Amino acid sequence: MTSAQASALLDRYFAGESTLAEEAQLRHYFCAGDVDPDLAHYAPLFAYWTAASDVTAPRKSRPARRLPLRWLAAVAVALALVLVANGWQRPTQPLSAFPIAEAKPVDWSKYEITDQKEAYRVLRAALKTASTELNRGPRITVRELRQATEALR
Amino acid sequence: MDHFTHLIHSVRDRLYRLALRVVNDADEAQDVVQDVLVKSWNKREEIARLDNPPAWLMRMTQHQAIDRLRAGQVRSAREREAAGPDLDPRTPYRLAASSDSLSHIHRIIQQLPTDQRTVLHLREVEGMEYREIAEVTRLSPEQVKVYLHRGRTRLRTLLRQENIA
Repeated sequence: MTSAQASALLDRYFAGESTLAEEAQLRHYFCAGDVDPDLAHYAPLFAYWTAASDVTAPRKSRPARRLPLRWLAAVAVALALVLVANGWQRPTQPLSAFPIAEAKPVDWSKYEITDQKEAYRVLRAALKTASTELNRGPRITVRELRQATEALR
Repeated sequence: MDHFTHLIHSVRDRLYRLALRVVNDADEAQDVVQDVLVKSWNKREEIARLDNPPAWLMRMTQHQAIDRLRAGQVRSAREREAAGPDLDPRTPYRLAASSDSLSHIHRIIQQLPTDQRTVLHLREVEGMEYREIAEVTRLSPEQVKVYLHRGRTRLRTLLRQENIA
């Protein structure tokens, strides 16, 4: 491209009348290096557009913001202290304040034995159980004493 | 899902560049794209039925970026109010601080109104036709042409004022 052609294209360019192809020609002219000294002052402009076209989005994601662990730890400790102090100072409720369900009275009369034979049988079973359990305790005691005595020998 | 993943891979850089153009901050731009991707995932079935899903994603990115920019401007205005008067953005100190010509041009472009900047970006960086830009920005093709003309003219004027061109 001659200087005259470049100059004419520049006029079209600044008037907003140039085509994309003509603008590419201008860019090529100014970036090629062999520029007319009278037009050289426009070279940085086209160099700028070329450089701007080469900009790409950063591929690496930005590092995630680090959590201020020290601050978080300090806040956690302070929170724990507040909770402990709050629990310490809170008056415990008296037992009487807790609601307790009232037990229904048991009607034992319906379990009352009226038959003599049945009463005898129940009494006998109860006495037998009591006798067995009463004998069990001394047996265990005697056995353990015997083991202790043997161990002491 | 594969279709959606392929779509996102194909447009992700474009979405990021557009968001970056509007909000002019890499972290904010990433957040914008992330928001757009999350929202588009929730609407993936609807997107799959669209005629031009990339244009829809670009439009969504533009809206999201403008919303974020406005929120940031409101925040900045409050901060400036609290901090007192700021320096003129075109003070010699700031010019000297960005002596590199490309960053200088970048700063000048960022001075353009958001609409002009967006149209310029879509044309110059993404190489889009007027019709495609109109679809993304919801402007008419004629408006796109006018915005492009005004943007480039303004850019030329600002470049001359800054003694770059």
